[in-house]
Amino acid sequence: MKEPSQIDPFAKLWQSAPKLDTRQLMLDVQRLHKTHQWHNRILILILCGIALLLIFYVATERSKTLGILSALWMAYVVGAIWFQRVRCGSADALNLDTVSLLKRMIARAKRGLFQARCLYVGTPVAALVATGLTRTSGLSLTSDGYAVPSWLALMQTIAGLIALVIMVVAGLILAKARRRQLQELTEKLRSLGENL
Amino acid sequence: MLSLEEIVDKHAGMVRRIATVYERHPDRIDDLVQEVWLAVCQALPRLDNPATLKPYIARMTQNICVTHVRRALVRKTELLSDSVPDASTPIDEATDHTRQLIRLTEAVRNLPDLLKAVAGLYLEDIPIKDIATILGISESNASVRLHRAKTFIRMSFGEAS
Repeated sequence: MKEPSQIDPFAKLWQSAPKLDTRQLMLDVQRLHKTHQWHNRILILILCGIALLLIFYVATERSKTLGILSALWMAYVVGAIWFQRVRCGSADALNLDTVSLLKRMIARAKRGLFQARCLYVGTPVAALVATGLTRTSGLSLTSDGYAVPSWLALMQTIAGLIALVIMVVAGLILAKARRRQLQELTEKLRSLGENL
Repeated sequence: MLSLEEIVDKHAGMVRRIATVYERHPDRIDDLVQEVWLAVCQALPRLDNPATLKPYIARMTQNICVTHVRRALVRKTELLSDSVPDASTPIDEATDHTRQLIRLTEAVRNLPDLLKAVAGLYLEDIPIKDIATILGISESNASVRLHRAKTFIRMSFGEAS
């Protein structure tokens, strides 16, 4: 069977573009690939470093968590690396068909929107609930008799409030971006998946 | 199995032409092309059948370009400010062939989204069956879209449909 470029003048014209010089492209791709590998290695190094630090703290009895924190951290790191490997190996997102890819991106955008809502609604609500509970139940972080100077307590409160405001603003910005993304992806999916 | 250099050398033109359909600005086309080859470079060890390399690269290019369009839409104002050589602009040095090529690229670029993807892949000699698989639509749907895309392109060249 003949290919379109052999029978269709438009396909023939389309493919008649001058051949590209790929030397610079190859150099750029190899450089980017190396950078990616370095980023991955540094990330693994940081994660392992944190794990070693936690083990050291438990071994020298500086931390009284009985190793639970270290075990949780290492389980999380191993799980995250395993999940990443399995996901890359079995279903590479770019290997999907365009319609499935768009559906997956829509699902991811919805998750992102949920996370953004957690940031700008959930965080202040949780902070208010925690403050309310602390006040009503009489619980306090300094209940073991360790006295915190008033200026330090004030600084803690201010730092907490600033962090809260940053989370709310970040959540709002993220939610706006995700909503727009969701809308565009849905429109694109509709136009691509439409039956003619 | 071909080396990355050989694969890039063989398919660089296809990747760039498909990227050109979705993006006008040369710098952003370069970014897209780099992104595609980086993805190919990372996915190459997992590719078990070299015979399916061309549709595989075409699929990756198509998917990256669709994702790119999503990002570019957010920067719509920026895109409009690009100085793009128009097909109707007379280019002194350009030969008739170059003008025809620019005209064809503009015609494909101006197609509606649902036809653009099919036309871009068809012009790269990707069989209709593979186009349908790449896009996740039925073969008959892809054929109808291709027919419409061809009609649009012919019309923009002033040919009767």
